[in-house]
Amino acid sequence: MNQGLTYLFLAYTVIWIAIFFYLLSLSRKISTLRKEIDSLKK
Amino acid sequence: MLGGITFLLMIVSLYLVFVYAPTEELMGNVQRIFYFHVPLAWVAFLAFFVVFLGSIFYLLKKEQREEQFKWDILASSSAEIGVVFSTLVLITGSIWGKVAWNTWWTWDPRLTTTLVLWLLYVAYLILRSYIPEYSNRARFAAVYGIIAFIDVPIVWVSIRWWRTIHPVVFSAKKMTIEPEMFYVLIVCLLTFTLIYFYLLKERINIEKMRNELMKLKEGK
Repeated sequence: MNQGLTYLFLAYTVIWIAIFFYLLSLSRKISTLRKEIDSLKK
Repeated sequence: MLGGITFLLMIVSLYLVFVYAPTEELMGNVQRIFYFHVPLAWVAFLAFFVVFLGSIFYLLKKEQREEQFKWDILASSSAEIGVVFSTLVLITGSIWGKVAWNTWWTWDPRLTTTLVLWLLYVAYLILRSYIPEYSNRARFAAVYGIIAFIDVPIVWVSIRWWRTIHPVVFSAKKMTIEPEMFYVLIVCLLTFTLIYFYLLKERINIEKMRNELMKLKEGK
């Protein structure tokens, strides 16, 4: 049972870490692009 | 708005998965991987279907550059999300397999066709990054996006056509899970579908901003 819980924890951790880092990479790209666009518009 | 609703639904999903859903008799708690594994696979299929649609419309709108551009953005954005989710399908499936089959990987038809699907769309993204000229890149990607989609129905029917050790949850004759488990799965499917649309919206924004930046640079 405990071994099952370890694998369950592992699976959900992988999912959350992957989604978190993907979201983080998207928001970083958006903020970088916004800064570049704003600087060119000035 | 969409982000907030998705976040709330994710909290509800987690409650349902870990508190409401009954523990499966044979596998115990590790069976709960199923509630996220299936929606991850559904989102990957949905994402690749959107690539397929975007690719068809790109090729159909030959004379309308702006329209073509929109469909190409949709296809490429959806492909990236599809690859992220299909990667997670392979990883969570592998973890589940370690407990259920005592191995991280086996060349079962469902696993093999899913791996092929993942490779096809990784190749789609690599192909896009290797062709510098925009219209060539978009045209090749559109043709590739249509052909690659052939593997999606093959993944779906693989556990019905061939002998497999992968469980069949949905069949025309009967449901193989308890009603409570089915309700939890439906909520998780809805949650992950919303996550997909949220990510797609953000990813499309990036492409629009890149286009705006390119136009600003050309104008200077």
